[in-house]
Amino acid sequence: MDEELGDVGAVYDELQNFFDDFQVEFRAATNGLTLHFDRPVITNVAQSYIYDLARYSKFHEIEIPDLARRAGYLAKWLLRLRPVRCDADVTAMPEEIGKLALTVNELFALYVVSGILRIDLEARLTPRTLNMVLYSFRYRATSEDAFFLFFVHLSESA
Amino acid sequence: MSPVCGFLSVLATVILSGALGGLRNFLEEQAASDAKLILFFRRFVEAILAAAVVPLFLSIIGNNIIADLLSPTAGSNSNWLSDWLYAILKLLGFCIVASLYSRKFLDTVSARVLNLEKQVKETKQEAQKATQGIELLTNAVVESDDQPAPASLAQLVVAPPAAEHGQQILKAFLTAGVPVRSVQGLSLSTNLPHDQVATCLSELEKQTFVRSIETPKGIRWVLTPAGRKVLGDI
Repeated sequence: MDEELGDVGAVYDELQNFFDDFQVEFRAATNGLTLHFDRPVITNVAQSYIYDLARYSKFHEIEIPDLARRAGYLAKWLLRLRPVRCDADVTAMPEEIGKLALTVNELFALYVVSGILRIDLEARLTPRTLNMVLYSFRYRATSEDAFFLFFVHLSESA
Repeated sequence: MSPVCGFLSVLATVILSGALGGLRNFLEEQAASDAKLILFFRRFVEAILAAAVVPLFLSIIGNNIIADLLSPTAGSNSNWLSDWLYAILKLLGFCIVASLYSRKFLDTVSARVLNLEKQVKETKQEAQKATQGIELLTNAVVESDDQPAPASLAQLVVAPPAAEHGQQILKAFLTAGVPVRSVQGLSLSTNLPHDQVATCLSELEKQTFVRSIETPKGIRWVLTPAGRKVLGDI
């Protein structure tokens, strides 16, 4: 990996640390469901994220992209490559918990974005807005630029 | 120009521009209100306040007009008047805009100031938490009462790790900005094979430069104070 592009290993470990904390909260919310973290996929997420940052920095001649941009790129790759999985049988669990299990990558992406922006999104957004964000994450072909606009708005109105 | 003159010129600019803005606002709302005198003074005061907040606003956005006006100008004497006039005109412009949209401007600047305070507070708290976390994780050795204290600082100096790979791995801890690392993460950061990183980390742990932590998701690694010190020596 070209050193100038950035430290893929650091991004990998940062995502891993996020996952460790996310796992604890997810377990508490789902009566102990276990999540698995696909290491090669997370490496791919980290590499793709670094490439995006490098491209953006080079084109705009900016040394360090801002937090909203970073959060946008990370959300994009986490949602596209889906590194987290829950192997439990969704049909055999209560509907609410099944929903959480199905949308685990969307929830993890939101968790990572919260951490990057240093905003408690669960507290900041209304339940309706939160559902809309998760729906967009899962079903809509939203680009990182749209995420970026939303995250900038969140950061500046915090 | 003396700082007192600079201050007086700023004050005069603020009051004048505030007065103009307030008058304009009053005239615009004249038709809508019966208590014209009260409304006039209300708008007048609001506009003065908004113009008075302009120096704070300028400092938030990193503009140095006020500093330039208050401090003696550098450079040749023949240029100071034009520089001063230019700065005054810029300040006048800011103050007029602020007074014209006084209510909105006051709301915006208040929100920014409160937000900045909140951000500073949160950043301080996070920095404190991170420091505490790192201290808890990286306490390498507890000195027992039996061990004699070192006679000099030289006795604390440890030889830097001989292997180049060991140095590479130690540096990866500092440059990444992530205090808790995994073998896989370090392997990606240093472009070294996974098993080589694992072997190096075991060696570095024996030399007390790094420390392993058991987590539910596996072993993680942190840099110890001895490791930080030796990085300074490399």
